Amino acid sequence: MTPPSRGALPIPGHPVAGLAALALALAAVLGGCGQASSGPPTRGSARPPATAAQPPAIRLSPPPAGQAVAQAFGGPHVTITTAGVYLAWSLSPPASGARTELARINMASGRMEATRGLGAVSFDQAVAAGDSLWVATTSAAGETLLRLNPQTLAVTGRTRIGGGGNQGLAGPSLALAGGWLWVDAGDRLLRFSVPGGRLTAAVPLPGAATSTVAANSSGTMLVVGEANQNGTGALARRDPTTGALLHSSLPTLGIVAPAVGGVFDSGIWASEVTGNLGYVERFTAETLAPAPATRVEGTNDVTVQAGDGMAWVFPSGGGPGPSFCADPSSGRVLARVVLPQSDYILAVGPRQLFYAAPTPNGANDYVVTESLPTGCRIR
Amino acid sequence: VAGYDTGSTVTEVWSAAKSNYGTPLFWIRYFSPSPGLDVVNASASNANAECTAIWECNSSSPCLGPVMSDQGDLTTSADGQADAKTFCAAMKFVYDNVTPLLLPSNGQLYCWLDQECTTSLNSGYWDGWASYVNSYNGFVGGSYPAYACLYCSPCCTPHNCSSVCSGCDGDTCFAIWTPQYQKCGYNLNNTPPSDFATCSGCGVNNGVPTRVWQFAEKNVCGLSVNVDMDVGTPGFGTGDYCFYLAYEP
Repeated sequence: MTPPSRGALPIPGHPVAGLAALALALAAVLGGCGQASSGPPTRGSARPPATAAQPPAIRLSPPPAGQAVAQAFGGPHVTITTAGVYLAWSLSPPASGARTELARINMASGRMEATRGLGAVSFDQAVAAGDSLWVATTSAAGETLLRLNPQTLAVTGRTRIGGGGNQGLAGPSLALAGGWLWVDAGDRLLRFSVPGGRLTAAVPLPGAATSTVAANSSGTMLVVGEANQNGTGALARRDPTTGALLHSSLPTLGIVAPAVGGVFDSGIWASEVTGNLGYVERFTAETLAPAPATRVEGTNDVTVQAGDGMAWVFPSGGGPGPSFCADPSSGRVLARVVLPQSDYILAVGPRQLFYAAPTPNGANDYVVTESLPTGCRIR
Repeated sequence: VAGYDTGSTVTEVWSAAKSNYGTPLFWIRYFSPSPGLDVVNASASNANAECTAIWECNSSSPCLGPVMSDQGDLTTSADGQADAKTFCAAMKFVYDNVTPLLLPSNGQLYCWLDQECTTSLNSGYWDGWASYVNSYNGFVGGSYPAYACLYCSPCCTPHNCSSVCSGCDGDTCFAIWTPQYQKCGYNLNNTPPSDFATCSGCGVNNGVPTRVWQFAEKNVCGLSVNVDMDVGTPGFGTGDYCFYLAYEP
């Protein structure tokens, strides 16, 4: 087996330093099942779906010792799009007013080829469509949808989404479906034209206090998670062109809307926070009924994300909990992913996995890239 | 009075949490049984490491509150008593093995039972659990210091105050710690205006007040550190109802 390539992107604390960031060729992944042989590789209340055979455990190696990084607060975000790979991070602690920067990364060289200061906002999500990069941000003043040149990151449009309609969540989510850009805004689902960025519809979500939105990769299925103020909610398939309700699930119990993490033609993966704990579950696409034996429990940071045709379940902030890649259509665990302590997965893209590795003082992060382990590839 | 709780360990998260979201005046951590979670009482060395981390994070307010979780079928009084017995033994283990760890000076250690929206928990379990905790007197130097309290979402249906606190009248359940409602964009230095759920506000007048509000959870609010942020409700100093460290372990 050829060791996958691996690199670390030092997150800079100063824009100038960011331009000099380099990808480093690092040691090979420590493959094999050494940890698995001595017990479960994950801590926490992981209850992965039952499988006929124990899936392999893939252990990722820590970032290089002594790698110098500057301050980076608030956690990095990696977004993999058809237009490129983007990295967002805070330049200051959230407690002192976050200043966020966005960069486009050349994955071959590891260089930041363009950067853009976003101001005192938190980065929520980005998608590429219609020759633009669309970025949702949240600030004290509310939520904003930015349109950027995907190469230079020059801002070409700016639309106020609302005044904190989704206050119980980190910020709005974005989805491309039916040729439109859909944005959740608490009790409304907003439809924007692509490439124009014009608000063309506001679909009410009656009774919703929080909502999330996602779509499959082909944009033919639009799924919305919503919940009332008490946390009782549902998943719903909606018409990707009009936003009209097509089918709704049985009630989900949590404290906010279920987060739709992966929409596949065969099923929908979502996470739900129930308090101190949470779970991830697969739902059938047609009926939105929970698929048997796919529920995975963890602490309230357990999450799911679609990447490279698979469902990835992991604790979003490191710490205890299940971490594995799964066949999205069956829920079968393909391999458990063992990260070094406190590291956490950021994004998964074509043949690549990105994760954050806190530096020894705990205040900064590396962004580490790995080739996807072979155990997490659908052949 | 704001602090953190975490399903991870204080050792792992305190530095980043303090840098990003402010200095805590208390930590709330899991104790056994809490299956599958990192518990403070995993070993004597772990208990000391956790307490050392709490001290290093803020030696001016080194407070540790206990919580336990059992997501099984919580139906009978016997189940509740068994879990409470394990819980109290875990707290005593930590108390005995971390020399500078002391009971709160007011003699009231709030001990939390984690009830999730999806947990099937009835009054029989609660009565068994609470009666054991409230009558526990195993701490040297304390006089019935454990007070049974409940983490829950009061308005979460169907497992809300009406089902779990039907027997609560203030004598057996002393406080609610709630994650409702979430308010993102705030931190320990800038806590949100009060907007928390209460049993009475959800139609159950059982006399149990909400004392702690978990206003921002890691995944809900996109925090970069595996912590949740909590604040005492007006007039309540959460740290005063926790274990505290007299000096560095």
